[in-house]
Amino acid sequence: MNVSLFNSRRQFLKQASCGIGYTALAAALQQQSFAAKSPLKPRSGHHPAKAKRVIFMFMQGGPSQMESFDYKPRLNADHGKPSPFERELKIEQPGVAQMRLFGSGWDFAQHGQAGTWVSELFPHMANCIDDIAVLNGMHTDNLAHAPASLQLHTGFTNLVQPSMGAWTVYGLGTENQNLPGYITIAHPTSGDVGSPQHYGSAYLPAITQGTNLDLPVNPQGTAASLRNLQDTSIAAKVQRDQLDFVRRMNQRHLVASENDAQMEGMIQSFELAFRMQTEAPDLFRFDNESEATKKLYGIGEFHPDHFGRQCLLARRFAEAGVRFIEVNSRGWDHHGSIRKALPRNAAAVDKPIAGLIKDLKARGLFEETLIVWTGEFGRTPYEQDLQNGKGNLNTYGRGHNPFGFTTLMAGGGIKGGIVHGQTDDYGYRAVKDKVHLHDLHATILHQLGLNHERLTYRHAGRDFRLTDVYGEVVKSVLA
Amino acid sequence: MPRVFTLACWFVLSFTMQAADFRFFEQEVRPLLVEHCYACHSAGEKIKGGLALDSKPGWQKGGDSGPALVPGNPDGSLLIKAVSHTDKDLQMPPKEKLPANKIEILRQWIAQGAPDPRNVSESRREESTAIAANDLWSFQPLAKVSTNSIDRFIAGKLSDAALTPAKPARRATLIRRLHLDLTGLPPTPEDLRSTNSLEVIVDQLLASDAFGDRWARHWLDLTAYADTMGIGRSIPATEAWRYRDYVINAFNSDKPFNDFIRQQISGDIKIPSAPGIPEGPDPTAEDIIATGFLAIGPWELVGGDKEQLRMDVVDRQVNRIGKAFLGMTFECARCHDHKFDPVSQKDYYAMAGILRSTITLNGRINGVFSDINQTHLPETPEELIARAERIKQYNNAVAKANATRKRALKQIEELKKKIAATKKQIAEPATAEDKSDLEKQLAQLEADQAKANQKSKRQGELAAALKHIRHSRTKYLAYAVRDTWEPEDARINIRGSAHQLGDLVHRGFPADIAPTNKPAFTRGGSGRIQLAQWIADKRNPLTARVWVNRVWHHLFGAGLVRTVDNFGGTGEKPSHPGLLDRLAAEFMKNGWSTKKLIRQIALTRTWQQASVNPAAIKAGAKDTDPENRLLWRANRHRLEAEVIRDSMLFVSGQLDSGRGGPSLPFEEPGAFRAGNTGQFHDAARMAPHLKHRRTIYLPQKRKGPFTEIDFISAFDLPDNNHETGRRTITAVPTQALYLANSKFIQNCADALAKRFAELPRGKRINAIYLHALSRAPHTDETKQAVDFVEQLRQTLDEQKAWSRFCQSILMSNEFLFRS
Repeated sequence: MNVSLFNSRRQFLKQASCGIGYTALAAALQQQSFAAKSPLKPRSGHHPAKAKRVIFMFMQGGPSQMESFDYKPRLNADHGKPSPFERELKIEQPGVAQMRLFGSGWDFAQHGQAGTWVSELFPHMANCIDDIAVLNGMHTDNLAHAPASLQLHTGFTNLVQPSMGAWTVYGLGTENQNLPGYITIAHPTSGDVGSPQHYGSAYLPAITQGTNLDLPVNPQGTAASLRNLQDTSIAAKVQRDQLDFVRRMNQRHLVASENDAQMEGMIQSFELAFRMQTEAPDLFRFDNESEATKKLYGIGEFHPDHFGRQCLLARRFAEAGVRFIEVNSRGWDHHGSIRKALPRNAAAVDKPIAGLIKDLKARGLFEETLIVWTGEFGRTPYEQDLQNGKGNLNTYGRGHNPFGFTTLMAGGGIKGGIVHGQTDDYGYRAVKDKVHLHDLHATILHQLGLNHERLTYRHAGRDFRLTDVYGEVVKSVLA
Repeated sequence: MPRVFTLACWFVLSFTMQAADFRFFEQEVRPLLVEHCYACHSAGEKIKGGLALDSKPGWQKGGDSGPALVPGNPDGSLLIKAVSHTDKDLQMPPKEKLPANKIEILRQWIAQGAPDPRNVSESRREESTAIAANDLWSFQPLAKVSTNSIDRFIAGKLSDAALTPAKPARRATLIRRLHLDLTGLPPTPEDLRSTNSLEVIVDQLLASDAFGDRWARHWLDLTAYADTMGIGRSIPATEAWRYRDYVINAFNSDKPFNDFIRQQISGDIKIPSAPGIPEGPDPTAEDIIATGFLAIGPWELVGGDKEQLRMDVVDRQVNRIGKAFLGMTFECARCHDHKFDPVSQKDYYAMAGILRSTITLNGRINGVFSDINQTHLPETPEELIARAERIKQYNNAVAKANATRKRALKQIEELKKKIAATKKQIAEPATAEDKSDLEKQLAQLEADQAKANQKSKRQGELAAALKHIRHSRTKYLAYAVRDTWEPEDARINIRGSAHQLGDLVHRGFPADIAPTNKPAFTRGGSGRIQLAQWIADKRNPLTARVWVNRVWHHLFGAGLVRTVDNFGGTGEKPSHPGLLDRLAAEFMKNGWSTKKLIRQIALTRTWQQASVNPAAIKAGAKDTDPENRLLWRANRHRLEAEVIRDSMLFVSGQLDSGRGGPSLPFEEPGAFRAGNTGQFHDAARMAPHLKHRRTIYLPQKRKGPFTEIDFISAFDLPDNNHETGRRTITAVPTQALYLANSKFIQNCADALAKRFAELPRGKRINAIYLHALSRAPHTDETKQAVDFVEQLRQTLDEQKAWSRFCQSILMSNEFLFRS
């Protein structure tokens, strides 16, 4: 059902922007109208934007670059030899004492007009490779999952800081006032692999924080949901009656309270919430998507189903005007049995990502949507043998590697069909055109029209930013 | 003038250089610098790391790491080190190493003595924007004590602005305000009916346990308290609750604030004897627990770089001490002199040395993990025996509960079989009479089964709860800090990196704060005793001002200085400076008693005025003083997350009066140690006995609250990884969704509806209003309520309809706001 509380979209926006947020002590609050202060109101950045929104793909665990997009023939040739790297003292991982080089289990071939090398594990993405920029010179600071994935999302490892999605919404607002500006789907939130801090707002206005949608893996094809979005125990009409009753109470109290601004804000946020709960659930379902579209994303197929649903939701949110969308694929942490497990992870994302690119292109959204694919770090070119010599090749895996890994970027003003940066002959360390996570953040913001050095927030006596005191826009990957 | 002389000499020397010496520079070096270095190290572009390479003075002065090169000594030059990429922390250019021939050019140039014609420095260093110590109001000693009363101060300024204060608030409003501000719970109808004077009511509330539950929360906000440690992993901090209980007790016992400071900073240290001063007593358990202030925090326990971690912890401690006690942002000076306040990098490392000489984390467990230091708390042999006895009792009780449960489970199994058999019989009954008998039997069996199920569940919970209590009683440890064996001064960390060290700085205090009060260091100690003395001293101009301002903030919704955590150059100046100083002076004179201070403020006309003032609004107060800094009316504000939750439980008659003790779940006993991979998962449940306790007693995770209580996080619960003295208040749709749809509020509404279900309609509405809103409904409100329930009755049953009505009251602004 749809309850129309507002005569027009314009009127709704006007009203919605009235009370979404306030800070009790914001000095300017009284002088300016609420509309001008609303943290969600869409606004332009520091310079013209190439991308209106971001779809960020978090490959939790750290995918192997040597088996995906960083072709290393020398590593394959030297398979089994002792590695020439000096042992990093700070790395303490079991089963890496010998540090023997470990070749890729899969063949690479050149694809697209640019002849980009892609592993055979990603056949669908290989078909789209001319739309994708491959960044092979990535590096980051920490080699443990928790701090590294925190840094990937917030720029910091040792402080809890706002997520890049929160920064984006803080900088640009969002186009659809009925939906959160930052949505992440099936985000890992506990244990070593995840945290709500990845999508938190820290000291930024609470409304900029990510909303984490539940999306069960099983049964296949299930729609997404949000805690407390709806109360299914009563009819929507009853709830509307109830909200009207509360509104009457509040209105009366408001008059008695000299039109208190905070109270007014609460009243408006109730209306907004009701809008959200009537509109959002439709967006979470795929009822009006064609079979062909679902197929394009691999929905219904064993491996790609879950990530496929995430990607299709991402497209739906992109259409609906959500500013920052994050999709999550877990389990890329292949310390052991990489030859058995990696094909499954690759199959889970390959078709959905290619499907998303095709679908966005068909709808004219690709150019204005920035897609980023990355893990929190990469993997070592030397083997990790968790069974201490008792296993065989199939039980071997790779350790964490923050010194070199691969990130992909596409759409949103990114130059497709290029490879930027490279690692050494084995894929261990980035050596040329290195790109730090700070640089990636700077580039994402740049494409959105935001200058990463100027997007700051005064907190604890200092101006904080996503890139701390670092970050350079990677100009070579811009179209 | 020696300086001019040196300069002149230098010029003479420069001029004696032959033009030929510059040729190599011009042909080889300059283009190289322009191509590879200027982008980040020149006045025209950026001066990263403080280093400019576009002039000779630029590299002579060098950047944050010191002079960039030593003429004649390539191997001793940072520049060569940087371009060779031999040091992991110093690699330039960062993206790509220079080709070998270019590095060789730089080596040659330096070997030649680095001739460089670029004498004029083009680089510009940022001028310091810091305010001078003499110009910063908060660094000045307290003004002479004025005898003006609080009300006189406020009235004076109001009168200057041609405004008059509001009328006194209605008594019921005042009683509600007092209860909410002092205890965090609304008054009961009995409280409202009380004929006691307000003085008596204030004293009663200050004496109630609920006072500590409320005010300790304010302090815990400043300590980044949580029951887990680690940023990345949620590792249970099993002993953290002792510090929380310590803070609650400190408020309830009105511990003098200067003692509160000393205990939290240096409680673990026995004061050593000195000439004329006898040795201090052994630290008590409470003294040691108090240092949880320093020990508990969002430490990144996983990760390899332990020296950096150590300095990160030190940084947070300097930051926390500065913010909580002094309203300063010292952390800015970790990497450079403070940009806005008269605090130098040297000041920072003087304090950092004290905390670096303090152990907070213990080294490596299983490689990359660290753990918070745990100190055994002192106990007498009698106490030890008593504890052993308690453990035995718990063990026995657990065994008993388990045995009972086992019997119940066995009974359930038997009943299941019987039920199945009976059902089979019913399926093919011989006669109608038989069938009816069998059905009766079945009903009985099923009732027995339900009973047994409940019994088994209850005993299971009991056993688990007992195990939990036992667990916490088998150890007698606290998270606490202790001095290192060899306290030492710290070196400046260049740009905050623990691996790039600069000058050694003697331990001490910021030079410009309370310069007449600098306690001398004793040998062998970290200096925390002196640090505490320096802070908790009457001559420190910040300590008392900052604390009385915090108390004012909590009682008025805004401080006299609204930037309660920042008394520096970028902070706000006090709206009533004389009043702030007077309160601070009197606070110290009154033995640093927080309760006396609260009592003093709460009994003023200013605090007791109404939150509406039509006369002032008519006089244009909304334009002349829109933020109510002059206090022409009482402030209204939405209640804090904990107050909302606690109040909902309280008015629905569900609030559990249990207090204190451990707060962690016990389902994962293996997880009760850092260093293994044990950690909380979303599935971890809260201990059942805690579920209806006040929020302060619930476990707090650093990664956001337990799913069961995430209700509170919607209402601006501050991130417990940050210290903050002032919460933000937002109105976001998530709150409305929780209020409308969450199980928590619906359960409270059900309970509230049931609580008065026996009363006739009118009285029922009356009771609900009185309990929830501290007032009786107006006649038309009663009618509207009746109509609303009638309307709901068309689709809902009686209980559900009343529950919806109760929910509506609980989600109304009147309930959610303090006015």
